[in-house]
Amino acid sequence: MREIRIDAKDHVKFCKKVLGKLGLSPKDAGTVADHLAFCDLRGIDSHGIMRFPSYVRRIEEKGTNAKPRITVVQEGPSTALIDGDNGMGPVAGTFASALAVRKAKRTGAAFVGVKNSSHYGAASYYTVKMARANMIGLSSTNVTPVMACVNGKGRAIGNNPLSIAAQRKDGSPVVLDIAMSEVSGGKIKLYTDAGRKIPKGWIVDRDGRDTENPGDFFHGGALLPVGAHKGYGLAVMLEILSGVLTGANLLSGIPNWLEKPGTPLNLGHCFMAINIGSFIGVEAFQERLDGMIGELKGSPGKAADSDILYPGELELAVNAKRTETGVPISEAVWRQLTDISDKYGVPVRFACRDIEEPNH
Amino acid sequence: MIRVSADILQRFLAKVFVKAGLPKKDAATVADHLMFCNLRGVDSHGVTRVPDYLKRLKDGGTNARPKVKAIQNRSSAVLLDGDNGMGQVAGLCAADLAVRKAKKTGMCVVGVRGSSHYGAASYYSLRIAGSDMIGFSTTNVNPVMAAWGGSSRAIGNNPLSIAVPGPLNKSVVLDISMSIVAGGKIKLAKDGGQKIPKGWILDSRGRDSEDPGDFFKGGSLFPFGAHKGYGLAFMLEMLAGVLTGAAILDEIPIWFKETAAPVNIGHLFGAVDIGRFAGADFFKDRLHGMAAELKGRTLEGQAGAVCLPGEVEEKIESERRQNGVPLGEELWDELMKISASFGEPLRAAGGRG
Repeated sequence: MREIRIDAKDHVKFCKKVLGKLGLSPKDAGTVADHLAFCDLRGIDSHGIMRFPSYVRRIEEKGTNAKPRITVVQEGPSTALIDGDNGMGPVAGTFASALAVRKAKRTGAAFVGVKNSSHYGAASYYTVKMARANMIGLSSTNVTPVMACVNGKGRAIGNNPLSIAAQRKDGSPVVLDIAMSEVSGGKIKLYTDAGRKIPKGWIVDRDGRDTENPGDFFHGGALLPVGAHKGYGLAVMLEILSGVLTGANLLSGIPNWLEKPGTPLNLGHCFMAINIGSFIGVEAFQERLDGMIGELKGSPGKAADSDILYPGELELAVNAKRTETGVPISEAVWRQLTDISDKYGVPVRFACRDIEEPNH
Repeated sequence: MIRVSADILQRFLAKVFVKAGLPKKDAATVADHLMFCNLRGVDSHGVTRVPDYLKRLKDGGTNARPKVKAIQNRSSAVLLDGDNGMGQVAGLCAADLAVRKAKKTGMCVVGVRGSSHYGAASYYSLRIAGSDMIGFSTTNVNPVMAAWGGSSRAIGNNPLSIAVPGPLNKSVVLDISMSIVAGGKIKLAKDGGQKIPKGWILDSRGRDSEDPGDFFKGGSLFPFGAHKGYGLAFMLEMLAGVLTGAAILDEIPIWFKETAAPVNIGHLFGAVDIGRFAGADFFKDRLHGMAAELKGRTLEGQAGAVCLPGEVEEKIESERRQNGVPLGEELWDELMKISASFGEPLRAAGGRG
């Protein structure tokens, strides 16, 4: 068995060059590559380089526009509606979140909506960027339906993510990034591959019945919302913010971005920036935030080996480790990346080493 | 069970709060908020809180005549000090201010500190939605919930409400707290002598418990979705408490016990003008289509149908407007005492029943 890793710098260089060959401008290619590395370094593998082959395919098949002309459709002092011109999600997302920050610097807060965009990856990429500008950043997107409604059956709505972030005094982000399903589809896949049963309450089968068989998800089943009506209700409100408010596609109107690589997605996103300086002020805010974290960590732990974490702390630790040791990738993804490397003539360097087969 | 007409009850409450020292307008706001809660089935924030609210006004913990003032005031962001008045007074002032400013700039966020218990978050978000805006509302509350990985009451089960205007003047409104269930539900199980499912609460030593009584002996509520509900509660504490300069976590006194202590909790409200995006008519049309599509997903043979957030509350409201607000015997007796001590008569709809 082999362990394959890619160094974070090589990761960014490779993705950027390939995207450049696909027609993206150097700036846009850099943005998308930076987004992928952000996800992989923080352990959000499902939105990292494993998605790169699908992104490449969508551009090849013209489902995603390599050279979007992003336009501001409507604009007010603290709002904007952006048309992403069917380009890559991170390009429109980065444009929109930066615009929200610029506006919030002038007026105290801003809300920017995006339509005609595609898969934008990890919501926290944008909120952390806003947090670095001394804002509280909020972001969401709608996604392909994968989740059932409470009392419903079938894949009715996306497990739309919500991210909120702010920055600590030492520069590290406090960041929440959660999907509205009990668990992600990726986790169901892992259980399927391992031949393991899943707990009841994670998914329903195609007829809307409880099931412990993860394979049912891939035969017309659906994820279940976290906290039943709570996660469902949040997913509905986020669909309204990203889809209804912006004029983007919603619910079953959204094509499956993996299965239909030649079809534009017209997804919607939303971004909110709240200028901390317009409230208590950055210095006092960070001091109080650190105090809050200290107090929570000081409260009695459930067990000696369990720690109370603040949102984003786990990802910060993974980030430190992977910056050092590189990003682990699976054999399957490695093969796909090698194919892309050959096809576009962009060399890629991996660190491979043989490891002993673990005893089962 | 006693049923009282909502109008009669609201008029009674408005008069009582004037006699407790509130200006007429503020008393009307508090009464309107209380009836909103009772009509929509959010009984835990309705009339049941009146004895505690009055006690706080009497003991000086809450200021009956606050001067709500702006500490910072920018075109889309305002920080208010509630002058330790009733949360409903500062809350409504903040929500209306958010709407006024959002009409000019497209959106506005208003934070409040120096406030107290503001009741149901959806009262304010719906108020904002009434102006064809997307309304956001949250507050921090005294710690009742364990942190994920923790064993004791560390953080509030802070509520979040988002409301949007819908077709036919029907709003879609979400109003959820970050615990799996509310403390009120634990109380009901305890009073009914029932066990509760594992995962709802931890006992005072941080162990899973099926005994609802353990919650009242130093136990804590558990966040919904484990790290998800905990993470949201953390972020809402940051927005309502840290950002505004209000009290946070264990700085917040238990408002109905320490009735002479200012509470100094914080709230945050947001208004986003739909006219700056899709436009209100188009928005409502699409929302109508979205609702129809989701309802079409109802699983046959289930007890319930697919609902939109707020739909259940709306049904309760139309029933209660017709038949009156139900009040328990104990609460009715409390109201009778208040009626006697404030010299304000109150009668049940069809007599006691």
